[in-house]
Amino acid sequence: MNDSILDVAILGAGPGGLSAAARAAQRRLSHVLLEAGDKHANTIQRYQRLKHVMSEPGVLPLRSDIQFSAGRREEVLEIWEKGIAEKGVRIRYSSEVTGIQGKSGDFQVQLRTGGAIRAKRVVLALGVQGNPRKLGVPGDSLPFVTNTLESADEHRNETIIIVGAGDSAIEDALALSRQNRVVMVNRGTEFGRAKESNAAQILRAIKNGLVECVYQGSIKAIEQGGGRGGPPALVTIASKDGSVQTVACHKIITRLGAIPSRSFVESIGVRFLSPEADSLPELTPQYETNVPGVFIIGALAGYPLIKQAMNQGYEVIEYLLGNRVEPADHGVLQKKLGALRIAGGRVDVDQALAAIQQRLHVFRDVKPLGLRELAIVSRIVGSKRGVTLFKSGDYSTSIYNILDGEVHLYSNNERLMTLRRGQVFGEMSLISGRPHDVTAIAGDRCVLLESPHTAVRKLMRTEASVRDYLDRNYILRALRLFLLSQAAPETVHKLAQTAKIHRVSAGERLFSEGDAVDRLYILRSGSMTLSRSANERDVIVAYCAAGKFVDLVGQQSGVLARTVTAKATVASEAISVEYSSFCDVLSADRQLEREVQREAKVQLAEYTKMQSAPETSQLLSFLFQHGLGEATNVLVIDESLCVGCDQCETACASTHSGVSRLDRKAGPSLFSLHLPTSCRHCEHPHCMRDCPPNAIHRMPNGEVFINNDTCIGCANCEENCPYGVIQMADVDPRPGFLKRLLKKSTADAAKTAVKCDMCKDLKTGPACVAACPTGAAIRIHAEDVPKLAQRRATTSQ
Amino acid sequence: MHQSFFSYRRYRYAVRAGALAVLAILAYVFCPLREPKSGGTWLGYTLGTIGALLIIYLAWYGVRRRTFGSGGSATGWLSAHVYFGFVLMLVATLHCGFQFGWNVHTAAYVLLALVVLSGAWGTYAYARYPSLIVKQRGNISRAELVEEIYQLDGRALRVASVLPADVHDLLADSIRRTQVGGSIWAMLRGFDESTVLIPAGGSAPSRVVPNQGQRALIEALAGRLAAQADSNEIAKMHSLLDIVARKASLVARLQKDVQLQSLIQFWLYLHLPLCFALLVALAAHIIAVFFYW
Amino acid sequence: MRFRVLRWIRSDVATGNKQYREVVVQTRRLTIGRGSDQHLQIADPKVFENHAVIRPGRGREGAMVVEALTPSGVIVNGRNRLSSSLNPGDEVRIGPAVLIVEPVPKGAPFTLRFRMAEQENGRLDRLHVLSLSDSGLSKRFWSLMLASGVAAIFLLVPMAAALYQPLRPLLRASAMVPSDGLWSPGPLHAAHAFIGSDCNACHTSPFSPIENVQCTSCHSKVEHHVPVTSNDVVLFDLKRCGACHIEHAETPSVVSRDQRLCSDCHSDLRTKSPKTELLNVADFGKDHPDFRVNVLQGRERPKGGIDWTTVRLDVLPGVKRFERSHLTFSHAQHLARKGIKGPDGDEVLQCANCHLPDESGRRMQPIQMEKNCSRCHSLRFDEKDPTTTVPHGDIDGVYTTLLSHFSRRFLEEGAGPVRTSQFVRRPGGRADVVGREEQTRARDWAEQQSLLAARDLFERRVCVDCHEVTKLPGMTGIQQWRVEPVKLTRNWMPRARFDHQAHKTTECVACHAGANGSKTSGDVLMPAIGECRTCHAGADSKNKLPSDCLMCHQFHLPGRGLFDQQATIESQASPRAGIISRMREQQP
Repeated sequence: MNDSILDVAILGAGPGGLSAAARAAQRRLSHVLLEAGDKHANTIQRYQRLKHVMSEPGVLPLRSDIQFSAGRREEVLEIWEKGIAEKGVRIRYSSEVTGIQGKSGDFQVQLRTGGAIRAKRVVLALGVQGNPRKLGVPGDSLPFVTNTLESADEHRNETIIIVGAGDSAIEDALALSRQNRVVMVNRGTEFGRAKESNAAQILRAIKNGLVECVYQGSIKAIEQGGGRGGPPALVTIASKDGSVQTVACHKIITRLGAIPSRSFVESIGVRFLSPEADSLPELTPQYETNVPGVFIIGALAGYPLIKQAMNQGYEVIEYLLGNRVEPADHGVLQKKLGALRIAGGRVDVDQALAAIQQRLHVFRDVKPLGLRELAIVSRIVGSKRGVTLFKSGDYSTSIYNILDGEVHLYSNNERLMTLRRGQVFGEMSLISGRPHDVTAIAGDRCVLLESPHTAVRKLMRTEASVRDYLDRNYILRALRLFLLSQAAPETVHKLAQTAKIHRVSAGERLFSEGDAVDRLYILRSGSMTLSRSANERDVIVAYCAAGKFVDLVGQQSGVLARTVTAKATVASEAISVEYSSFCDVLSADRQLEREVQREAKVQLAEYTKMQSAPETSQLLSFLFQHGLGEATNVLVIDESLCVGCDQCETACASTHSGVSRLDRKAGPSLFSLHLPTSCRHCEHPHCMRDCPPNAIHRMPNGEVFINNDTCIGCANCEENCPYGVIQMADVDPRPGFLKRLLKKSTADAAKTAVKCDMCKDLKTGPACVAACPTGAAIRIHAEDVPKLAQRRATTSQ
Repeated sequence: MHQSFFSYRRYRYAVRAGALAVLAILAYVFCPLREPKSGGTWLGYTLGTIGALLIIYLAWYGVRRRTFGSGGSATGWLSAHVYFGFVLMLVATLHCGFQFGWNVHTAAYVLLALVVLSGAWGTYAYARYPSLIVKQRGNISRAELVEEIYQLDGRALRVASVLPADVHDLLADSIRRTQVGGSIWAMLRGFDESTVLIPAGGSAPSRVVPNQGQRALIEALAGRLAAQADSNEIAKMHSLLDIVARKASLVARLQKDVQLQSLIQFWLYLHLPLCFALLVALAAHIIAVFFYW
Repeated sequence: MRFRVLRWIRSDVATGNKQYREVVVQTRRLTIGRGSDQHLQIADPKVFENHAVIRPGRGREGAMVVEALTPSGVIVNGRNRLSSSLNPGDEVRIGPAVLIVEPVPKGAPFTLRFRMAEQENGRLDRLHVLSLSDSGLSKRFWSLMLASGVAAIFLLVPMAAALYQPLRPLLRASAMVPSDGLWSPGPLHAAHAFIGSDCNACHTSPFSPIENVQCTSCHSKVEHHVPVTSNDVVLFDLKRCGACHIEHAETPSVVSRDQRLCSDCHSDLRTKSPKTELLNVADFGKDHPDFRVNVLQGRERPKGGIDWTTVRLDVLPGVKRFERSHLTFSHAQHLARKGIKGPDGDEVLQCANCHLPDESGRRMQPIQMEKNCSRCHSLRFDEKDPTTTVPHGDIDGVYTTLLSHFSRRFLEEGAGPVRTSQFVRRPGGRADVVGREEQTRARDWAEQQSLLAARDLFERRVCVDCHEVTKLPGMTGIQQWRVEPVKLTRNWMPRARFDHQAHKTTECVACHAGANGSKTSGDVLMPAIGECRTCHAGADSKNKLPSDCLMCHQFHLPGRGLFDQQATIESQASPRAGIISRMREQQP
């Protein structure tokens, strides 16, 4: 190892890293590209063979010394392989970096394999996958220790040890247990992390002795086995009671997940914007972190797409050479913002961005990178007076900011308010995940910036300022919309002073029976069940959807206690105001008071009614537990009508190029209500949360669908979906009955994420429902769930 | 909310079919014909045409079932299919004016009757069995049931593997000879045809005995248990017995499930072929009528 | 010979080496299958009851052969065989079972290692058939079978019989064989039974209704409803025999008695044929015109003689109708209660004494002087000799009879020229040889006597009893009298068919009212429609005898010409033919 200081050390041979290294090579910089794995572009290497690699976003031009265009995994990898060779990239495989010391101009990059590399600058192109956790015990790098399982069928009559308790571990165990002896080593005492169905299966398997499991166990050592025919490995397993056993086995599969790159990055001293898991590091427009000389590009910097990463790889090298290159997206922005006229004249990108920033309150304190990114996915809309921007009841996937002119909001045909330059609207449905409550109609000379939810959500995650602004804004609007439509602004503001926002995750309580009624809660996203404990078991007495008051109690004198417990069925958010000041408002406004009291009475009546039907609440809690609380459109099968003809699946398959997006048999049921595994079209689609190419969209009528042309098959959505309704499938571009008959292997087709799209292209509506001969299959909205439950519970007696 | 194909759209098709039936009857009763109201009369031709069209329409349901994304709700189709199916029987009877003989015409009629009959069975099956299936299967799917039994077997074998060879052999054999479903008849009857080979003991030769509900096996094991001395093995035998008992109950459930499932399907294996035969017979009937006008 | 089977039980948990159970079978052929009688039992649905055997093969000592007893065969060393020789090390698979041939020293029994491949990880759902779809029951297959079966039996074979001559006798021979007989909707009428199974006797050309020709080829004499020469024929052009005469339909008769078939036209006939003289009729009970009888009427010609015409007169209750028959007859007198003088004393006459049914019994025989009257009304003219009578219906005959009679008497009695009166008063004179003047005298006398007798007959006693006799002026001798010819209507209601037989249980006068009161033979004694309606009413009457049109009328009428259009030319009969009976005329 020579002690000469390299110009730059690049960590991670992903697209970004490669591109950077290639640029460095071009610029004759002395450099090294360090890759922990033994191949370049690990993530893509891990794709299924022949998988189609997308090059989203299409609008963005590629600027890199290494070629890249959409194509088969193999082709892409090969091109890069060549690129590395041609451009003379100095790449070092299997050299995992354990730490970085020093400061700009002289960093020491420590390698696991020992030794260090000195470099003036460090570029982190680590990606988010991170490196798979190792056991960290002697022998954990022996050949028979792996962190993947190619195919369960290759193993027969072997003894296999699986370390871990996650979904992947369980799936391996179940698959292998068919023909092998399987020993699971579970650090914990249960399978909390796993999906419900998986956990249930593995527990049954263990109960029936099909899989052995060591709870609170840990691997102590791995040695070469006795050889000559016998199992190759001897593994020492310790369980918490200290007992130690040695098992002769053929294979050890470690499913311990990955060490997130973040922890490593933070260890260097890089600050992140927020503690939340998916937050991003602070970056200058030149991708430089708060640690001078350390740059971050690619997924870790919040740019998960290949092309973005490669562009940044190019740019970052240019930056650290000190030349100011226009970001690659410049051209695109020019086009987009060209429409924007400020003081009459055309403006260049930076001016336009500046204008946007100073005009729009929301984005006041957004960092330039963030704004650029927002701008590139947003569009500028100039719309004529009287044009309806969206109707109340529509679902939408974007929010609007008024760059100029004004917009009128109508709630059931009466004008609610008029918004002017700089104000935001459409954000309530962004927050609640529900359809718009108001209708927005363009006023005079109105120019809007329309931005997709996903982009804004990302900002909300990374930029506290945006989140806070929207929250404040929401409180005011909500109070006006739900409560004080006539009240004077100052009353509203006064009340808003006392407002708080409560975030509760699924199953968590907002308040409990017996608590003092000190605040008035409005649920703004998610849904809640109100329950009472009757003879030591909770009976659900009401269901509360977003945009409703949680346990509204009529105004009474004196302190009173909650008669119900509010529990979130899904991650929910509520805003609340002080009850006392709310009472003041009421006492001021007789008419409002009457309304509130009537509403309260209705609720109370509902409570008692529900309480008298325990089955109903049993069924309700069952349904909510399986995510109907957040469903906008979910398939529910009445088993007492279902004859198991599987028409629904056949229909689904035949209308979706041969891949059924629902599995009738799978899924839980109660009181002969069956919830097959199929998309719930959640209010806050979990699948949408993290889709790199932003390929998951929402139609105005609420359905969530995946655009298979832009899907890159990263399977994030599959991971994120708590109901396991998304599958990665070869979507045969040319469907057809005959083709399906002679089931040719569609290896050449790209694997993409597929799920229920509610047959958005069929006028008959969802094919599964249309195709059900007995009327067993229906689709319902979360709000119909209580009704359904009541009917069912009464009929099932 | 859910709406069965019987009550689809507030019995829309029941009403329409009923109306058609009444119409047909009125026409038949009050039509001013002196000669017998056979198919040859204008009344006969009218009813015949209606009947033929009905048959085509009802048969079209089969096509509709296989075309998705168009043509309205299948529930509606089935509803109409059922109700008009029954009315068709009436129309056909009036059409032939109660004249029967050994000829293609009566053959077609009989086929029609069979089709409608099997259809009626199907209607009953659809109305009756689903709830039964749910009830007796509880909340376990068949796959899970099978999986469970399979796992119990595996477990039993594992327990037995440390017991004397003959016990293991007996068990393995019983597992091998455990019969679920099998022949069509067995499925429809839902009878447990499991057997087990009791090895030769003393003078008695080895013989295969029925093992309904695993009883034979349990007895054999119990007998073996009595002969046991080793306390450890006795314990093992006990656990084995209890596994087998659990398996027996599960197998019984599976049997029942298989029976109900096959019952809910079987009628279609009559309905469909008969339907095709009927279509051909109908063609023959019409051709015959006009061939010898 | 002996077979040694080592059945694998398990591999020992501790040592891992395999444990076998040894079975030695003493037999010539080792049987393998699912059945409990097999030496090697393989409990698996995919294995047959007795699936295969292992037996010594031909050729060298100790050679063994496995032989499949089922088409599915056995798999030897991975290749599916029906039979194969076995050598040490060979692997035989039968369903889930694996048999491995062990190498053994000479003389040792033939040894097999036997284990179930899926014994350990056999899945229930794989080993067992759990759904009908897996049970080999195939909707498609049975649909095909049934459909093609039906097609063959009910369509193709009959079609062959219908279209391909040579096959016909073969197929139509027995009812067991499918033939176009299967297409017959119902049995033929007894009348047509003789046609048997030969459909093409009538059904000559496929897919076209039966032509009338098919009927008229046998029923060649069927006449039309209207004169084939008239234009009305066009009204019937489209009328097929089949329209009224229904076959194969289990109808009581080939003839449809539905009166609508008639009333369709006759309820308003004018619209069909404008210048018909027929009145409308829809229903005998409710809508039937009064009966109209054919009545003969004669009008004197200015210069002697009479024109005879038939007029149709309605018969109305109370209204007396007369005809001119030149006959003097009083039913009243003859049917008098107290009786009437007969040859041997008074006797009471019944209608039936004169009116006798003809052989069919449906109609009455015509009244004839000789049969019906002469018993009482003798034609004697000379009580001197009561045996001689004048002939009936022949005036000249009458005269010659008289003349010859009196000439004879003159000769017998030799009477002189005396006046008849005295000579009548004093008979029995003696006559001698006649001389020339005697002869002349005798002829004169005879002529004189004959004329006297004739006058007596024609003007006083016998003929005039029944006949109208005219005295012609300026005539002498026998020429001066003329007996008017009797004109009798033979058939009062030619368009109806009345059956006296069917009504013989009722009184004649019940219908022919007033017969016993009628003094003159001119009275028309035919009943009015009312009489019939006392018992008869329309076809759909409940309380009276339902009487459709065909009870009295018929569709195919005589003398209209042949129904079959082609045949019209031959038929030249006049429309009136058959309405009026032949007359018994007497030449003067």
